[in-house]
Order: sequence, then C-alpha cells, then structure tokens
Amino acid sequence: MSDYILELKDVVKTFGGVRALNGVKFQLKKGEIHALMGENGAGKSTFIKVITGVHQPDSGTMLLEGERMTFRNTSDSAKMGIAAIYQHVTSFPDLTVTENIFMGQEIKNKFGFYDWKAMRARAKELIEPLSKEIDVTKPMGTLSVAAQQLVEIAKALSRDARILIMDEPTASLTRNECLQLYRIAKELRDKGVSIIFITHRFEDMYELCSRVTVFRDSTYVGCWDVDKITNQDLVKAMVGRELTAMYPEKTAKIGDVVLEVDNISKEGYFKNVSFNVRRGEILALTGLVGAGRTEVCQNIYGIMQPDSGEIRLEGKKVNIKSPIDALKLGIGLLPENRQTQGLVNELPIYQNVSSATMKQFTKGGQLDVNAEMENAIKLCKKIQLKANDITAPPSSLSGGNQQKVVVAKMLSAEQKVLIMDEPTKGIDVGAKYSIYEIMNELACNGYAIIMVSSEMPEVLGVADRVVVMKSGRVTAEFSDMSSLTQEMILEASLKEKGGDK
Amino acid sequence: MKKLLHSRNTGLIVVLILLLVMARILTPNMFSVQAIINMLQNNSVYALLAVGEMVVILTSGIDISIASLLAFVGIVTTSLSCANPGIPGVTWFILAIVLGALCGALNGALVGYLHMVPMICTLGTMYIFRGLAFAVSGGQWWFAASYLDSYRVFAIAKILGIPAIVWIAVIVMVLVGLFLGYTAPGRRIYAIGTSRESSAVAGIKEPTVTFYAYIICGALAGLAGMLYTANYAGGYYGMAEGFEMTAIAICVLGGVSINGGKGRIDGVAIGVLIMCVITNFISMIPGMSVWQKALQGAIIIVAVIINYFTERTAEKRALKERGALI
Repeated sequence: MSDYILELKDVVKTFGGVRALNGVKFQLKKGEIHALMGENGAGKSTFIKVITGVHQPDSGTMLLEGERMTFRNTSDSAKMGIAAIYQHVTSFPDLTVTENIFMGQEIKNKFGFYDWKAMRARAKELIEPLSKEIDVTKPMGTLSVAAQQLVEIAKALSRDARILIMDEPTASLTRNECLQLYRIAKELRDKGVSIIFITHRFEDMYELCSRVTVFRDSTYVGCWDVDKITNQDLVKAMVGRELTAMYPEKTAKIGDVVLEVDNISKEGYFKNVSFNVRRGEILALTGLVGAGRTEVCQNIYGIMQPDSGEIRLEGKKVNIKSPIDALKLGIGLLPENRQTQGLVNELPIYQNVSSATMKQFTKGGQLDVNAEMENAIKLCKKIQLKANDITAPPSSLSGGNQQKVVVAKMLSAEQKVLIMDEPTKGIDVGAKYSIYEIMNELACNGYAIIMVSSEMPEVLGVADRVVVMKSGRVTAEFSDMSSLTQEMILEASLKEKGGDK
Repeated sequence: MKKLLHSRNTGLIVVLILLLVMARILTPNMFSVQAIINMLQNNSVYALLAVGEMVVILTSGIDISIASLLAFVGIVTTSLSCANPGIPGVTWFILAIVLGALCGALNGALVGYLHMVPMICTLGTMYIFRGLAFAVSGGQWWFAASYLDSYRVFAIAKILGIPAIVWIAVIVMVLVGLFLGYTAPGRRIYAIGTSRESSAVAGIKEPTVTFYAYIICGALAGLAGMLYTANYAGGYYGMAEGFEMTAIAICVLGGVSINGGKGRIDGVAIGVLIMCVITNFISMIPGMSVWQKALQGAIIIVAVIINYFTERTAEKRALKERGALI
C-alpha cells in the first residue's frame, strides 16, 4: 500500500508543438493540504486538468491509492472522488444554487423527473455547515464570488470527494472570506479529504499547507515541507533567479497635492469619501471587496458621477462627466479586469497600446501607422514588456505581460493621476515585482498613483499612504508606513463606524 | 405551487387583462365564447412554434427556419394525403413530427457539431425549406382536407367543445414544461444556455444538447405544419411567412432571455395569449386594424423595457443582500 493517495510520475502533455507539462511529478498524502505554486504559465492549470480528466496526458502515469488510472473525462475522475474548483468559478449564473450543486448528478423521483424538493433539502444540508447566509433557491449569479466558491465546495462534498483541488481560490476573496475558506479547508482536511491548493499567496501556504510543490516552465522543481523552506528559497524556486526583495526600494520624491476628493457620495455605493494624493506618491485604497473602492475610482474617472461632493485637480474644481473628460484632464484608469475592460484581444499589441490616443497619430484624417508603432515600441521598452512580436494579439502574452500592455496603453496619453485597480491580481511573483518597479518609476516621474488593492502585504510594501474603506466610508488613513501593520489595516476595514447610518 | 407564477408573469397577466377589458369595451360583439374559441384555434400554431423556438433560444441559439419548415412539412403531408386518400390521417400526423424532427436535426447538426452561427445556419435552411416546399407543391395550392376528414380531425375535432388543435397546443406546453423543468436533458438546455464553459467542465456535451434542442424545435414546427394545413383545409408553399418572427416575439414577450438560459413555459403561454388578443380583438376595433402590427411591435418593446427594469431592481436587491451598502 502506498503512502500517497495520489501520485503522478513523468507526466507529459503537449498542445500542438508546445510542451505544457514536461515530465512533472506530484505526490499527495492522505489528509494533507498540499500547496502547488509556480509562476503563471508554469503548467499548474494544465496539470490540474490532467488530474481531473479534462486533458489526457501524452505519457506518464497516475496512481490513485496505488492503482493506475486513466480518465477520459471529468465524470470519470468525479466517480473516483476527485473534484476541482477552478480558478474562474465555473458555475451557471442563471441557475439556482441547488441546481448548480446537483448539475450532473440530479436527484430524481421514481418517474425519472427531478425531485426539486429533495434536492433543495439536500443542498441546504450541504451548504449550512459552510455558510448560513446562502439561500439555495437564489440564482448563483446573485452571490458574491466567495459565496459561489462555497457552493462549489458544497458541490464537491455532495460527490463525496476524497481529493479536492482548488485553483487559486483566494485570488478574489477578501481577507475575511479567506479566513472562512481556511477554516473550511482545515475542517475538510480533518475529515480526511486531501486537498491540492494552488495559490500565488504565501500567506495561504503558511496558513494551510504542510507541503509545497513548485513548478516552473512546465517542469517539476521540487517539493518541500512548508516549515523547512524559506520564503526566499521558494521565490527562487518559482522564478528561477534570486529576488532580493519582494518590493522595490521607494525612491520617488513626494510633492504637492495633485488630486483631491472632497466629501463625495454616491447613493448605494459610498458616502462622504475624502482623500487626496500627491505628486510622486503611491496611495493605497484598501478594504474589503465591496467596500466601494472600485466605485470611488469609477467616480473619479467619470464612469459614474457622484451625487454630491467635489473633485479637485491641482486645486481647481473639475467636473468629470465621462472617461474622455478624465483622460483630457490627465487621469488614467487601469481597470481591474484587464481581459474585458483593458484589452481588445482581436487587435495587435501596438494597436492596443495606442487605442486611447489614436488622435496623436492621425494627420489629416489618416493614421500614421509608423508613428503608432514607434510609440508602442518606446512604451513597451519603458515597461520592459516581454513580447517577441508587438503585432501579435495580447492573448499571446502571459497574464503579467498583458497587464503591462494595459499600463503602456495608459501611459501613451499624458497623465497626472493614475488609478490602478488591483494591478497585480492573478499575476505571479516575478511579474508582480516588475509591475511594482514600473509603479515606482512612474512615481519618480511625478505621477500620482492611486492603487486599489486587497492584498495587505502589497499595500504595506508599495504604498506611501493608506486609506481604508468599509461599507462605502473611509474608516482610517495611515501615513506612517513604518509602524503600520496588517492588523491595523484589518481592524480599520472591519470597523463599524458610528454616526449617520 | 406557490411559485407557479413568476413575479414577472404577474405583470404580463395584468397586461393581458387590460387588453381583454379594452377589447370587451371596444368590440362587445366580438367577445363571445365562440369568438374566443376561434381565436385560440387560429393561434395554436403560434403556440407550437413559440414553444419550439423557446427551447432553442434557451440554448442561446435562434431558429428562423421554423416558418419555412412549417410550410415544407405542411405541403408534404397535404400533397401525400391527397395522393393517398386511403392512408389514415394519423400517419400524416406522425410523419409531420418525424419530418420536422429531421429538418431540425439538420439545423442541430450544423449548429451543434459544426459550430455554425445559429442565425446564419437557420437563415440558410430557411431558404432551403421554403425552396423544398415550392418544389414539392409544384407552385400550386393543395387542399388536402377536402379529400380526407381523418386529416382535418387533428385540428378541428371538438373535445369538450374545444378544438383538438388547442388541446394539442396545451398538451405540448405541459410536456415541454415538464421536460424543461424536471428532466436532466431539459435542465441541460438551460445549463448550456447560461454558460458553455461551465457546462464543459460539468461534463455536459454541449453539441449533443444543442442538437436535440433544434430537433425538438423542428418536430414542433413540423407538427405545426400539419395542423396548420388541417386547420385551414389547405396550403401553399408561401404559407406562414413571417411566423418565425411572431414566435420569437412571443418568447421575448414571455420573458425568455435572448442570451439564453432564462425563460419559463408559463411566461411563453401568457405571451401567446397576449399576442392572440392583440391580433384578433384589437384589429376588430374600428380603425385599429391598420395599427395592429405597430401595436404588436410596441408591446414587445415595452416588454423588453419592463424586463430591463425588473432585472435592474433584482440586481440592486442582490447587491444589497451581498451586504454592499444601503
């Protein structure tokens, strides 16, 4: 009998000519939470899909409790007790929670019809230990991302999963939701479920996992006990080079106030929000997801207009009715969702870069493609974009590099204030560092940067000043970064503020 | 049972009642039991088409070939029954369903397995079916019913004073409703309509589901073809032109989301009734017949606007429940 519930050896998977997995191995012990880490494109997601039978490996073996297995599809692996919760929650937003849980394994009555009553009752049973707030008759799409993940977990439990795979479950969760997820994962582990936990966050790993396996460039790098490896060694294993620090040294000089937000309110989103940001400063706007941070930024950028209050740019009151106004005034936004809001995947990289500033390159109604290209090349150099061909679409790039294209696009217009909404969401350590470097350099060049971020270490490492929001209100502002701790931010982001509620 | 009526449907019922009241006041002599039964009889074909169309729209597809399909199948069954008066009508009833299903299978295969865009695919087959109808009919009118009573029986025979065609439409609605709501293949239709990616991960074979959705739609359109000719005692290749649009309109009116994944059979049933009332009673109001089409269109637009606002309030409520803010 083998010690391992799941063991994979020498797994190779190619797509066309590209090797997505090159002889990787992996061993999962019974009842452990095992972290799987690596940069984006290291092959983690492909690996998971091999385990669940979405992809079939070209060669290699998979042993489940010592027995050789081949899965042709996801239902094969589900039968063997393997369930996966994918990175982008794969649910049916229009269908109810109940139906999402039972999709593919419906409870039927003796006539072969759905037994909705029994399904709802069972769904409730499954959900209740995880969360008391989820109504199983609601459409999935009305739930928060965290709640949707809990539903996915319930779904896995309904199938008596022995092995649960979670692909970056904490990427879009708030701190509190993460804690809840940790608790649930630990409970599952204690019940004997083995968990593979894919994450970019060290915090997750330290909190939950006993061992960690690292992939890099489609290959297996190593497997360590979590308490026996240092942060630095782990980063080195992932990136393949030494990263001396997680965050670059701050060098920018902080100048005068550029943008001032004075007491703005928007019904249903936020109330009486005030803060300012100075030249060369990185201001972090943090708090829980749903605290109204993104909405505040959207108001500054003109996607929405505040009901009351004032926005002042360099001391002058400005009236921003649309993003065009904002861009004209020199306010740029790096949207949270680069895929849908930041990039046009059908267009080549250089056209993406110039898409907001086409006018600059137009003479007499004609677009000067050469000038457009030159500008793109210049900007791509500035942000150290790793691209072989800027006439290729951005989808050919990794997540981190795609984000750089969005940054380049923002920089192609003359800006004073840059709003970056979760600039490092879903990108790996190496790419994160270079995004931080870019932010730093931009600050040095006199930009005022507002960074919306939920990641505490990032907030502490990058920002010069921190504004915390909770339920649409500013609950705290910290300017002494040296004494600021995660706990202080957390406290502020949970604080119930008295007064006019 | 308490969820028998979706909240949105309450609004539709109010509209329906308003229309009926208007009709009652403005055209009192048209408001007899017989007139209502006639109205239902003549609109049952729309019900069949709309139900089939709904199934396809739920997959986030669309089928604009159904009216041509109706004409093709209708011509085939009429002309065959003319040529073979000895064969009982039930044969043509079954043939219509089978032939319709085959035509639907063609659409389903092209959309499901070859991943053609539904609109383009069914645009093509729309012309093909209409062309076939022309070829089979030889370009002339056919009057099957004058030869064979057992053919017409399926439309006009009265059971409890209500024509068979109405019963068939009601039975089809109930069956499709049960299928969509309470069987795995039915729920799969909603699943692929709401998210294809998730369906793939859940092990649902999207091409297969698409395939049978179009088959259902085709079978119902085929059935409608036979019943249409039986009801009107004849047919020609150009019949039922534009009915596909009416069917789509009924779906939209009944709250079926054109993006797929959302829609209920009771909504469609009410949609059929509203369409019915508009086309029949309103056009009887002196001076209103000219405005019938415009009124139909206006009602659809209003329905979509109402949809938009109900969805927005639902979203806002959801936002609040997520604990976002006041």
